[in-house]
Parts: sequence; structure tokens; C-alpha cells
Amino acid sequence: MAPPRGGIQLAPDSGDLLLVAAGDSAALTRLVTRWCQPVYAFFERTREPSAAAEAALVTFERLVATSARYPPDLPFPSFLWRIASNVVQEGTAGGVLEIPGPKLAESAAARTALVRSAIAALPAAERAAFLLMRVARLPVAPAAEALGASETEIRRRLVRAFELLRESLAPLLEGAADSASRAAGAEAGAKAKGDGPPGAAS
Amino acid sequence: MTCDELRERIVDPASASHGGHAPVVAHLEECAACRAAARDYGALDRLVRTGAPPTPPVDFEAHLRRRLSAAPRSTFSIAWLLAGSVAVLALAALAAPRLFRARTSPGPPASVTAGSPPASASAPSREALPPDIVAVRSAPITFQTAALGDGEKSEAAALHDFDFLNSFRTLARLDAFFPEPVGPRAPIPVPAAGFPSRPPGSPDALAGRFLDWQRLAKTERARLSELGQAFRNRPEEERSLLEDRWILVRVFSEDQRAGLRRLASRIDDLDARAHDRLESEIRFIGRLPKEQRASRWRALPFARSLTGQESASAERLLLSR
Repeated sequence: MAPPRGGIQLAPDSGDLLLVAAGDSAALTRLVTRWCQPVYAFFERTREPSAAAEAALVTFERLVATSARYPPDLPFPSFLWRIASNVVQEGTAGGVLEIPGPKLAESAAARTALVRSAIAALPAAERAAFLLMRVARLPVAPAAEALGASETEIRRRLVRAFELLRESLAPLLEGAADSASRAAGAEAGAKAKGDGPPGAAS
Repeated sequence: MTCDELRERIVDPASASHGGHAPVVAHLEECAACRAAARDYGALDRLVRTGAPPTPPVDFEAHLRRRLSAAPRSTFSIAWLLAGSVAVLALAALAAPRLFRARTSPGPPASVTAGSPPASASAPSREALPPDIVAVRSAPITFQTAALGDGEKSEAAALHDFDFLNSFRTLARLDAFFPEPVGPRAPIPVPAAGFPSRPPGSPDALAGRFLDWQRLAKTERARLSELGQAFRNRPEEERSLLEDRWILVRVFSEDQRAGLRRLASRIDDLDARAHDRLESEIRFIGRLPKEQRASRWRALPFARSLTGQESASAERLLLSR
């Protein structure tokens, strides 16, 4: 790709989005190929697959519709995730599913449904912060940029999200604790030695 | 380091390493609650990332392109139609002289109809550049050519959430299921971010609205505009009340909302006396503890006369208060 007039070499995604704004069909294919999966996965953690596909489609539709307003100095991921975050925040917070313990123990689908409903039940701002940092795996700075909030605020939202999820997913956490076979003492010691944050570990 | 500070550090891998681990370790050693939180956060992370990465539908891009072409249907499909027609014409222009030559080859060149250019003049040589018109096929595709006019944009932008517009009359007819009847009452507090049914406020929401609007048929646009006008014509306090009710109902599924519409019609069909009696019974049920409401509702003769969908929608509404 030829460098743009300013002499700044655009990242492929940014360049492709500008081409999409100019009506280039192939550029849209490239963007969809690169970003379809992460965007779909972002939504799939809050809703069942067909609804996640629909939300991802809405995101790409808006991406195309707003491509003409894309400022090339803004990193493409920030632009895209801002749109996706808006879509995910428009979703209404439903209730957390109530699934009996035995069903949870035997069915992976039931566990997935419970996790989805718990994330979907988070308040919109916390939901978006959680998904950006824990599913899309954005560092805090781009997440803050996408959500238009300070980094401190994003961390606070993330903590609130974790605390709410601790409550709503308690049945799963208890199960996880059981299966971790009470190596708790040793684990606490390891954590105390600064093995790093949970996100960094996985 | 406080518990809040510690938790903000452990949820963000980058910040957790700033300032060293010593304060984090020291806090974790002392604070059992934060140790439990750290363990749970880690377990939550693993829960969220369990399983294979989800994969989008294989026809995702095709679906997207159908949606994009459906929005500005008038121009996108016309552009393709034109491009296709032009391509056919161009191919015909290329092929015709050959055909013509083939049919007339036994005869002398003079047999060409007077007034027509001689075949040799119109037939492109192999070395010649193709006619410009053929290049139309590789012209860029435009996804957003059917711009709405300013008038249409402002009309679309001023409308409340479409689902809300389709539902607010039903919400007004189901007074008994809500704490306050529609009418002059104490003002409803407006949420800090405004009611969720409000017209789009952000650039992205507006872009989404315009896309939705472009997709709608003219009759549907007119219908929604009428609904928007009818809603705006209601007194201010009624509007707030209905928007407040929508907060409960917007999470209902399409089927449940359809159930509510039919329920409202069934209630409207009752004579005045039965209507009043039913309203008092519903209000009474609404004041019961949640766990008693469903059974009391199902025991009503009126509820037993409903379809499953109507009854279930009413039940959900009673339980959502």
C-alpha cells in the first residue's frame, strides 16, 4: 500500500477502513477476516450464538457507516471497540439465570449459560469494561480510550464487575474451589509471593 | 495500600507490576478477604475463557454484505444492475462485429448495410485497449450512497426507540399491572442517563438509527412517525410514566411483548364491571410478595381463559415489579 500523503505509514486496518470509506469492497473483506472472530467472541460471552452474530453484524454495519468519519490518527482497534462497546452497552441487563446445582455440575451448556447471563446482567459500563479487558484482552489504556473514561475509572469498573460476578457466579466458584482440592494454603502463599494478577496468569 | 487499591491493581496486569509487588504481597499476607478475592478473580477469568474460542458463522461476511446492500437498496442494487448491464452491453459490443463478420464472411465487404460502420472499423484489434466502459465492472462498490435527506435524518433522529413506540400504547392499557395509573401523578424521576427509550444521543447511536431508517419501507417509516407524534402529543407526566414502564418491559422477548398486546386486547374486551373487578384483583396480586403472585394470578378465572403466551407474559410482568 502506498504511504498516505502525510508520510505516516498507516496500519493495515486503518488503511483498510479508509478504503472502505472510499467504497473498496476488498478492504471490507480484509477487515472482516481479521476482526470478525474477536468481535463475535466479545458478544458471545453475553448472549447465545445467533444473538452474538447479530450484535457483531450491527458492529460491522456501524463501522462501515461511520468509516467516513474515521480519524486516521486514532488506532483502528480503539475505533472498532468503541463501536462494539456501544452496542454491548445498548443491550439491556437481564437477570442472572437460576440453575440448580446438580444441573450445573453435569452440564457444560448450563455453566456457559450461567456465565453469559451473569456477564449480561452487569451494569452497562461494568459489562463493557469487563468484556474489553477480559474477553477482548485490551490493556487498560486502549480500553479507557474506547470507553471514553480514565484508566482509574476503568479499573474501578473492572473491580465492580468482578465483585458482582463473584456473587452471581458463586455456585461455579464454589465448584471450582472444590475441584481445586483445597490446595488453598499453598495457593495463597504463592499469590502472596506475587505470582501476578489473575489476568496475567491465564 | 487499601483493599480497593489492591483490587484495582490485581485486575490490571500492567498496573499490578507498577511500584513493585512488595505492597501487594504485604497486603495479601494480612488480608484474608483480598486473598479470597484474588483467588475468585482468577477463577472468574478462567471461567470466562473456558473452552475453545467461539467462531462466528461461516457466512458472516455474506450476511453482512446482504445487510449493507439492503440498507441503501436503491443505489447499491442499481449500481450493480447498471454495472451488469453495462458489462453485458460491452461484451455485446465486442462480440457483435465478430458475429457479424462470421455471418457475412462469404459475401463481399460491400454487402454491409449502408450507414453501418464497416466491420473492420468497429472491431477492436487484439492490441487495442478495451473500451473504457468495460472498466465499470471493477469500479469500487459503494456501501453508503443512499444518504438520507436532512429532513428524513432529523425525523429519524427525533424518534424514540422503535420497540418502545410499538409498545407504549399497550403499556398505557395495562395500568393494573403497574404501580401507578397513567394520568396526572407525581412526576417520575428521570434516570441520570435518561430513559432508555429516548431518541439516539451519541453519534454511533445516530448512525445505527439512520441505518435502521434506511432499511424501513416508506409505509413503516410513516407508521413509526405517526406513533412518535402520538407519543409526543401525550402530556409530559404520562410520557415519563410510560418510559418508566418500558424499563421493565424492554427486556421481554418479542413473543412476550406480543403476549402483552393480546392481553391488553383481552382486557379491553371485558365489560366495564368485569374490567374493574379484574383490575382490582391484579392490583391486589401486585402487592403480594413475589413468590405468591404467580399462583394467585393463575388461579384467576380470567387468567385461565388466556393462551399460555398471554398468561406467561402477564405473569412475567407481575413478577418484574
